[in-house]
Amino acid sequence: MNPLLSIKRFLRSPKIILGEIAAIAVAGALGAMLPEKHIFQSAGFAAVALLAAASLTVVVLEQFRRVRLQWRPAASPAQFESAPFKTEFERPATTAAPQQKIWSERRLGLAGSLVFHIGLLLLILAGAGRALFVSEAAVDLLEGETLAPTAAWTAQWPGVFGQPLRLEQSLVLEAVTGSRYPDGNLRDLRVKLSAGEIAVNRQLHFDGSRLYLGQDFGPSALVEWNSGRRVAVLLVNDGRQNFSGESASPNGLRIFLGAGSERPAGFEYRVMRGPALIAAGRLGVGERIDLLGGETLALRGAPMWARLHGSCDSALWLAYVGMILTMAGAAMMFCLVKLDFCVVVTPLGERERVFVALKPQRFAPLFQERFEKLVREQSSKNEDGKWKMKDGRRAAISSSTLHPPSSLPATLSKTFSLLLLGAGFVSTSGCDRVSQSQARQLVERYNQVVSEAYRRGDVRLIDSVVGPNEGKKLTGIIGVRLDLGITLDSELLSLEVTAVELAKNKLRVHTKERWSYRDLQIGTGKQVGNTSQDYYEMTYNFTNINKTWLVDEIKFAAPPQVGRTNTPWVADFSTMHGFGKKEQKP
Amino acid sequence: MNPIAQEAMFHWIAVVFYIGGLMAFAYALIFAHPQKVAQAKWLTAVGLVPHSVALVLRYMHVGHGPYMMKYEVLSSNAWIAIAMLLVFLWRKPNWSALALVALPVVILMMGIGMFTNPEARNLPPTLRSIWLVFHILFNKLAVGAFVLSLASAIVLLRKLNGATGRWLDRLPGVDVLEARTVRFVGFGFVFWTTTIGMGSIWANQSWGRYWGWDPIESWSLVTWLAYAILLHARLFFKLNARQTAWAVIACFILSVLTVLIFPFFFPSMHSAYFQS
Repeated sequence: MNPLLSIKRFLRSPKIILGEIAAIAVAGALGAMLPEKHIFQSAGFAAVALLAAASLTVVVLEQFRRVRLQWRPAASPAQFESAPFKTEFERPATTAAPQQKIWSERRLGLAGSLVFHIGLLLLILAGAGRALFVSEAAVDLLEGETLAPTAAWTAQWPGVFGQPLRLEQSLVLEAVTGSRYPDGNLRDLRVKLSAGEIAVNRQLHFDGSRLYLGQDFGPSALVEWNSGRRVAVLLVNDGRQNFSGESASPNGLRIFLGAGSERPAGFEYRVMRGPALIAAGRLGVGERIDLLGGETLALRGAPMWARLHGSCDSALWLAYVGMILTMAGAAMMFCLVKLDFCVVVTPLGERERVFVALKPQRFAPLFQERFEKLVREQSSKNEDGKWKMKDGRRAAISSSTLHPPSSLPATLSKTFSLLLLGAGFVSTSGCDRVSQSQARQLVERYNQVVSEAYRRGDVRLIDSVVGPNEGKKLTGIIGVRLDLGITLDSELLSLEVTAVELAKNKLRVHTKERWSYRDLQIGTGKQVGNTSQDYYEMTYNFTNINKTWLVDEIKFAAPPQVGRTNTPWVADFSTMHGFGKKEQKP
Repeated sequence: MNPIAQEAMFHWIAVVFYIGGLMAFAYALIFAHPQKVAQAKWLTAVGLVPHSVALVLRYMHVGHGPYMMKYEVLSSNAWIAIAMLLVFLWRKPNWSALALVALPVVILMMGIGMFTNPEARNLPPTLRSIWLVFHILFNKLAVGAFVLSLASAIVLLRKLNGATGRWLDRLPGVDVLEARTVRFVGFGFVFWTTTIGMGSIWANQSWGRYWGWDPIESWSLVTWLAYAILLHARLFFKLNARQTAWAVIACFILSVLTVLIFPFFFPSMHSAYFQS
């Protein structure tokens, strides 16, 4: 046997085609459920896609041949022998000579499947082209900054054989404009480039590439250290209208910057050396701060930045053509059904015999009414206006359209409604489960964020992990420590989750924790007092607010075992929140 | 009265009319008063008026189409399903029995939606695109067609199980019912295909790629492939009516999971539209 013929037969075999569709569906489901997307880059997935493309090619060629053959209307009434709708009747003669009329309607429907499958084939080819040859890149640009042709983009994602993205001409980012809704949420983002304006959802074709904009933007701080090092610190939005960013000096200092708007006049800053807070305050453009050890830090400017994406996908047009053909083909398949009609009139003296047949390409049972209408039209040529049929009042439907019942259990249909109702309620009942490891992650994240807030003396950091009650408490404690001129450096030595209780949107987590604490003096970073190793049994009460678990209250489940016995804090009441300097009475 | 209370009022009025319509259909079909079917249809159609008013008020309140959050999505899906049902019944009056299945599904949809958070949410910049409007519109049409295919499949199963009754007898035979079920699936498939196509164009604008294997994108493809398997299996292996009906029901469940349930379980760029 011809091996090519065997391959062709294999590729167009129904089981193989269904297997390919099912394999892609299973891969899609697995890919959607697993956090990693490796499945779509695996050799197995590529093989299935290749096999599907081969099958599609064979199917398209076969369908093309079939459409060509079926495009013309049937040549003779004999071809209507198998028609699901056919009848014969007599009527008074209207013609002396035999007549036959054969015609087709909605012939375009015949090409629906072909067009649909060509579209799918083009989409697979376009996807392969993209995976192999695409060039994608992103770069963060400041207002006034030029992206030179030779400049490297911050990140590049070329396809397997793709080249890194390069522009032939320079591009200058002139201005970034963000507009907001009254509640502060971002409404629109526009960037003016030397080559034109782009916005979210409005791309720009430039130098053979496509430039587009995501939603990454914010203020930046042009920081200059006295060592001569200049850096642009990009501040990003934490989702609550707070912008924050950080940078490191050549001598190991870290600077944390914060701003409450996109165009700030200055920034809140915190300078840290290791875990110690060295300096904190507000820094305006053009201002300079002196740090310990003779280091200085100056803010030279605060332009906005935006992330610009570039893409060069030479197969994009193929994907669009594929999409259009797939949509058009599907519509043609199900909205246009080709109908072949046949009317043959045979004179019988003063009367004539009329043969009427209708052959729909698909969904035959749905065209009963159309056939009856045709018969009515033909029989209306009868003198009394009534139509008669040899084989009864209604036309016969081929028995091939009736299927025998299967053996699936009938009772299942009764349970379906319940299943559907169940599915509906599952969607709203919020039947969340929190495992021990998830609870541990929540506690760890809380401790990590709060420890850093204590370390930096920055209460704004805690917003993402605490609810209003705990937030107020922590704000007070961190503020008091700042007033005392110290920060807390802590390390979680061990954590054991002993129990987790979940009720509606409340979560209670019981833990045993071992901590190491030390107080550091702000400005010098010197340790104040001894290090303390403590042991706690804690209960964390989380509340689910807007789908995020926030700590609403923390309690000691047992008296804490604290390592150090005295606290060497020295309070300067004149600087403490809410405390006036006590007047000396004579 | 604040806008949310006004919307809720009109929504509940619509629900009352739909329940009235359902009861009228039940009375007309189960207790053999076919002349009452027209009144049942009118009652249901009148329900569309307050429902439309509620959606218009919502649009005026939030400034965008009904495609953010469960409250808007479920209400507008229900509107489309009712409108499609009425258009179909207008063309095919003998199919009124479909209303006995489609209306409870729609009322359930609205009920779930009404008990969710109705607070307005602004559209983020990526969702401000004309392609999103087409994407959502065709998705709703697909859901409407799939609801009708579900109703048709359930009625088909009842018939195949030998259930009788005047309301079932008014329907055409099993072969016509099965063909109609598959045709509904076909229309849904066309709309779902267009949903994916329009979404791809939008994704290309917003995220620079027309396909990124985002979890909801993937589930949408899986649903589309499941319907493709159904259509191919019916063609290749000559599935009988019962098998076809069960396959339609299974695919419908998958489509509901994709549109309404999975966005909660899988972190996705699409989740934003359906939170709260």
